[in-house]
Parts: sequence; C-alpha cells; structure tokens
Amino acid sequence: MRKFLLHSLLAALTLATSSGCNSTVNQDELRPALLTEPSQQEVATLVAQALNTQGVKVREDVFMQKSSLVLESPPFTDAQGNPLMGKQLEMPQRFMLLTDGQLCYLQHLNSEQLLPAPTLSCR
Amino acid sequence: MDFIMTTQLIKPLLISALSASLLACGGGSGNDGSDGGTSSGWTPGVFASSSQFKGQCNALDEKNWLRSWSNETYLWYDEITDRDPASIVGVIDYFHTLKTEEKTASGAEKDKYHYAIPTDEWQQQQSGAGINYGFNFKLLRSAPPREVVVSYTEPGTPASAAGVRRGWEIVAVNGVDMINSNDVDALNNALFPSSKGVQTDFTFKLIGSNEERNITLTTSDFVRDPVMNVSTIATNTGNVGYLQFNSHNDPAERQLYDAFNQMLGSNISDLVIDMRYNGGGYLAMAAQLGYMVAGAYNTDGLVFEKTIFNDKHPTINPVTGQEIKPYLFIDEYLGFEPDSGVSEGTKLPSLNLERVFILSSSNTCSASEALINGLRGIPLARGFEVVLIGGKTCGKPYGFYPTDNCDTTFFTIQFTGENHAGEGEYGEGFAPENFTDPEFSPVPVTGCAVADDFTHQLGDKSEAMLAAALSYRATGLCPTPSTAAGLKGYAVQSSASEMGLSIGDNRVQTQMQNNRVLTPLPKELN
Repeated sequence: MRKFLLHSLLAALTLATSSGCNSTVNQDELRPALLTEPSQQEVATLVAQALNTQGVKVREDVFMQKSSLVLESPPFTDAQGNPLMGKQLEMPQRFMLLTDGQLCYLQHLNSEQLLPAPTLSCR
Repeated sequence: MDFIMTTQLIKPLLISALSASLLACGGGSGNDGSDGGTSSGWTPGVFASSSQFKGQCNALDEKNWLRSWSNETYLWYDEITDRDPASIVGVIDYFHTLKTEEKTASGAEKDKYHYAIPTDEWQQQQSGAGINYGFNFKLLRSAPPREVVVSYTEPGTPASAAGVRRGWEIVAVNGVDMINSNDVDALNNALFPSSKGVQTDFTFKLIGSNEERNITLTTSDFVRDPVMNVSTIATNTGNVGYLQFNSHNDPAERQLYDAFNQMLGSNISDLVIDMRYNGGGYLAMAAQLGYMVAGAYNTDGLVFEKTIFNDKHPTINPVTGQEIKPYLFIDEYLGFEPDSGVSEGTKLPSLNLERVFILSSSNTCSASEALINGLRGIPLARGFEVVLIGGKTCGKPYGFYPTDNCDTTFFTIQFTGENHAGEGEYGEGFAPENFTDPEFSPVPVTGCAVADDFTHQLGDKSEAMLAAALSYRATGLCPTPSTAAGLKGYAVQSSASEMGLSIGDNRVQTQMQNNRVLTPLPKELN
C-alpha cells in the first residue's frame, strides 16, 4: 500500500506535468476501480498508447473482475517447446485501473505514467 | 517436446523462410532485399555504431545495423566471422550468420537460440494464457506412429470437469487418426488452435486400457495455474513437501507465497519441487524461490545470479544503460501482480531447508535452471544440497532483449549468468549423475535419472520421479532403470521422424508452417 500511494502521488505529478492543463488529479481520491462494462478494445488501445507499441492483446474481461493488468511476453517457444523468453531480467508491464469517483485513469506502474481514460466507464 | 496449448513454436530454420515478407519494410522504394551489387563500404573488423544504421530500412543498412549491433551486444561477438553485408542477399540470411559457429563439448551447436520474428507478431503482448483447451500435452513421438499424451490439466476448466487426466493418449481429433494419419494440417489445426471458440472432438485412450472416451472441448483463454498439487507426504523420517511449479509467471508469486506458508505449518523436513514442465520466466522469482527453500542462513548476502554481458560491457547493461547489479537471493514480495493481496516488501516465508529435490526434464529450462545453479552456488561450508531427479534439463543459461529494427524483432544471445561460486557453464543442461547419453555432456548433479511416468498423476507418490525422490531420500540409492531411455530420463526414445508427417505447433504464420512440418524432430522429444 505504501508503494501504491507513492505511485499515485508520482502519477498525479506526471499527469499534471504532461497534460499541460490547469486541473490536476487529487491522488487522495484515486482508488482501484473496475469497469462497468467489458471494454477490451478500448483498454488495449490505451495500454498500447502507454507502451508506445503497435498492438496489445488483453482478455475480454480485463478490469471486470480485478483492477490490475499484467502483460507478459508473447508465448513463443523454441524448437524444444520451451519459452523463448525463459529468463527475463525485467519486471512485467503492470497497470492499474483507478478512478477518482468521476473519471477513469489507467496507471502504468512501471513508468508511473497516469493516463486519463475517458472512453472507459468505471465503478 | 512439451506443448502447452498456448504456445507458438519458433525454430531457427524457419527464419530464412521469413525473409521475403520481412524485407518489405519502410521505404516503398521497391526494395527486394538485394544490394544490387553496390559497394557496401565494408572493412573487415571495423564497425560503425549501430545507431548510425538504426531504422534505415534498406537491405544494406539493415544488415549493417545487424552487424554492428551484434558486434556490440552478442555474448560471443568475437566468435562471429565478419562477412561483407553485400555478400549475402537476404537480411535474415545475413542475421543467421551473425552467431558463433563453435560447438559444445558434445558437438552440438553452441548457440541454438537465434531468432527473428515480425515485430507486429512479437508486439502482441498479452495478458492471460492465450488460447488453449485447458489441458497440456506432450508429443512423445510426433511422426507416425505418433504418441501424444496429456501431461496435466488446468483446474477449473471444462477439460478437468470432463475428467481429462494426465496419461490419457489422444488417439484421434475430429475423427482423424492421430497415430498414423497423413493429414498433418488437420492434426496441427486441432492441437494448436489460434482462436477462441474452436470446438474439437477428442478421442482419448485411457491409461492402461484400450477403453476410449470421446470428449468435445472448446478453446478459450483459460488461465494457467503455475503452482499446483501442494501437499505433504508423511514418511517414517518426517514430512516431505511437494509442489508442482510450472512457470515463473506473474500469478506464481502469490501462489508460491501461499504454498510455502502452507508448508511452514506442516513441519516439513524435505521438499520436492516438480519443475519438469517449467520453462522459466522471471529470474527474480527464481531468486525468491531459492530464498523460500534455503532460508536466510544459507542465502544471506549471497549472489543468486550475476548477469554477464560480453566483455565490452563489464559494468553497464548495454541495453538498459543501467549498472549491472547481481541478483541476490530475494527475501521479500515484489508484487508481480499489483493487487495480489500481498503488499510489496512483505517478508517471504522460508522452510530453511538443507537440501531440495528438483524433478526435471528437457522442459526444465532457463529461470528453472537458474534456480538449480543459484542453489548450487551456496558455499559448501553451509552444507546445502540440490538433488536432481528426472531427465537432463534444457541447457539455457542465456537470455536476450528482443530488439526491433525495420519491422523485425531480433533475438541474439546477450547475457548469461553465474552463481555465487562463479559457475554458469551449463549450455548442455544439468543432469542426474547417473544420466547416460554419449550425445550430451551436461553438468552432473547428485540424483537419479528417471523417465517421465504418464501412468501416474503428478504428486502421486507412486509416480516414478516422485517415488525415486522419496526412495533416494530414504536410502541414498537410485532406482534401477528398466530401459535405456529411463537412464536418459526420457519417457520414450524417439525414432527418426518421417519427413513431412511430423506434427508441431505451427501457429506463427504460413511461411513458418511450411517449414515446421519439414523440420526434423529434435533428438530428444520429451
């Protein structure tokens, strides 16, 4: 929880800096959220934006049962059937869905980036 | 060869087949991948910075980038024969030459892990397990007479609800004979589905009988459980803990945390970790597991694994630019899953054992081998022992950072690892000390060679590997193998494949599929 609060604080600062708008997110009001309806494609688009990548696959029920999302390497295997990425030095890409009671936010925990998610509906 | 039904198989031989499609990147200049006989400006042994060629999507610059990038980051850069980029037409063909040609002690290729994948395929990072039927299987023989056996089912799936069991043989799919049919495409399409909702009629032959059962299963993105069958086995000399550990993936951290807490309350005197199907994952999780097994006394202040790049980069990771710091044994929760219910920094439980039994096969790979190596690096004075029961491990101490250029993602070996004792040369794997196979030269480890036993469920104390661990624990003796294959730790000794009739995972793309069925079987299939 200590790290979560730190993440939220940093994320709020990041958002305030990067968005260039007058409003800031009050980190005290951010809490883990769930989606009110399945939004697989919208989440995938936001995640791809956060990672600056071409495409991301997420489950149909992403953020419906839990507020976190963890991305792993694609399940490619070698000739012996063993994972290509069997020895990974870095932590996986991790996200949290947050809300301040009004808007949804997608937080990329690895980078502390906080993205507004106006296309999503949270509870 | 073990296949989880979510995997996508890549083989080095397939790379060439990709050349034509991969070359069509960027420029729109009608580039056909040929240098057209122009001078490359190549000077042997002189390398410009790879950054000079990065993102320059014409064939010559792409090859120049590969040449410089390999010289900068390939672990064995000084074993690459420097060739004129203009002398080889295809970009991927040229990449294929940018690796060592050295052999291991047994005569095998030193570098078996050199890949290129279309970036749009690779960047499809995903959550969840991918597409599967809810059970896993092994191709004991992929060419006729084929033998495909269920290795284990995933709990909570329709497959487990339907009673599909380890050891059941798949004898037909959608009415096509699995054992002898020439219809490879039908078999591959059924075994390695690419989308959800694929309905397949399986005919299984049950264990130890000729009874068959027809079960229709539908694909979905079922979650794979990395930790299973956590149990305690009572013996005359104390309780033995057992757990099946299938993957160092993100859900595993919480499940390992719970498993070790459970065993802490069971007065465990020894532990068997079944990693025969664990192909690796996060190295940090292996360092956590090492601590949970061996405890603070055995691991405090010790290096679990020191990451080593080539000698141009002794202190700074050439990919991340960060200082290279060794992984110590890790005694706290890291939070691979952010809301797992356990806070980051929580102290991990530990059994504080003096030894561990690890069940192994050729699918025990990478981070799983790092666990074996890390624990073997504990100084002798502390008296910790690793006992290996099963088959030879895969032999992959190496790793890479996938690197994109011009719509292709390249994988070249960039790092390896050493334990606290400075040991890390296990490119032919670890094997129990009585393992016998002149074709391999693995690092011998105390223990017993035992074949995978599909006639018993995992965690059953009659299952051959677990039974051997319990027997060895009681007597210090290994069971007498009933077959030569058993002494190699193989379930079945494969015969030569019939070219064109081998089945295998072919979900990557068409060009690869064509090569896949023509690729000779690996020598070791399990």
